[in-house]
Amino acid sequence: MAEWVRNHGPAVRGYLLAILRRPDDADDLAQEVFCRAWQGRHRYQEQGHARSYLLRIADRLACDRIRRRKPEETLSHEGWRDKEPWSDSGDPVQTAVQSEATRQLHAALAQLTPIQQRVLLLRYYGQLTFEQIAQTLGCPLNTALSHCRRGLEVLRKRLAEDMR
Amino acid sequence: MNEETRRLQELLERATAPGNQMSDDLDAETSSLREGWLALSKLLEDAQVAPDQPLDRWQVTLRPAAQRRWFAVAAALAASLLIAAGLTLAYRLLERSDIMAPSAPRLAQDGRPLAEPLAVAPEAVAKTTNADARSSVADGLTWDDPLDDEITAVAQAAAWVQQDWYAQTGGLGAIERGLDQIQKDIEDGTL
Repeated sequence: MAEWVRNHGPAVRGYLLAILRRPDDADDLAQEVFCRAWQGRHRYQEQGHARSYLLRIADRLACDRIRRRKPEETLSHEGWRDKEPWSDSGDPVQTAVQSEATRQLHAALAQLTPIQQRVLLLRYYGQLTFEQIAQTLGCPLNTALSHCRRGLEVLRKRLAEDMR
Repeated sequence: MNEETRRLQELLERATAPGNQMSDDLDAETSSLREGWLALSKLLEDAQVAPDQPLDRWQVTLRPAAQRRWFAVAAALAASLLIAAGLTLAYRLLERSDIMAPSAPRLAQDGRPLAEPLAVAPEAVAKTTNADARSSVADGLTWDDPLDDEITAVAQAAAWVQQDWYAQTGGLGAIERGLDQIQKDIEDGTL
C-alpha cells in the first residue's frame, strides 16, 4: 500500500483536486481511496492496472461527494480571511502565480460539462483506455469518445481565444 | 465496434497520448484536438496538480472519517458494557454482604417465640426427640455449606445415640426394678 501511495498518490489526489476544486476535500477523499483499496485488495487481482483501479474508486467517491455537497455560502472579506486555508509558502510571488494558475485551470474546467471533465481527467491522470473510461463512467464507448472529443474542442477554442 | 468508432478512438488516443510534444505526423483534426489536450496538460501542471507532483504536505493515514466514527461507537459500547458489568458486580457484592453480615442477636423474650428459626446447637438437638431433632436441624440449617452439613450429620448421630442410650438405660432400669420387686416378693414370701 505504501508503494501505491508513493506511485499513484499524486495522480489520485490531482484527479480529486481537479474534480472537487477544494484541497481539503481532495485530501480527505484521497485518504479514503487508499483505505477502500486496502479493504478491497483481495478483489484487485481482477481489476488490472493499479492506477486505473484507484482512479475508479476516486471517481466514484468524488461523484458521491459532489452529490452530497451543500450549497456553498458566500463569505464576507473578513469571514474569508478567517476561513481561508493557511499556506506556509514563504514567497508571495510564487503564491500569486500559483493562485492564478489554479484560477485559470478552474475557469477552463468550468467550460466543460462534468462528464467531459471526468473523461479528460481520467485519461490524463490514469492513462486509462477509452474502454476503461467508459466502464468507469458506466456509459457506452461511443459516448465516452464523444465527450472526450467535445471536451478537447472546447479547450482548443478557449486556447485560441486566449491567444488572441 | 463499427469503423467510425474505431477511427475516432484511434484519433483520440493519438491526440491524448502522454507527452508535451506535438507530433508532425498528425492530421489536421488530430492536431487540433491535440492542442486542446496540451492546453489542459499545461494548466494542470501550472496548478501543480499534475500526476508527477510530489506529495510534500500530504500523508495517508489509514483511518478515514467513517472508521473514526466506528471506532468511537465501539469504544462507547465497550465503555457502557464495562460500566454495566461493574454495576452488576457491585450489586452482587452488596447483596452478598447483606446476607453474610451478622445481624443483631435475636433472643426470645418473655416466652415469645422467635419469628424465624435459629440455628440449633447440637446439645439442644440431642435433648429433643428424634422427629423434633430432625425437623429443627432441617429448618435451622438451610444454607449451602459443607461444614454445616457435617455438623448437622454429627448432631443427628448424637441425637440418635443419646436417644438410644436413654431408651436403653430406661429399659435396663425397668428390668432392674422388676428384678428388685421379684426379690422383695420372694423375701416377703408373697410370691
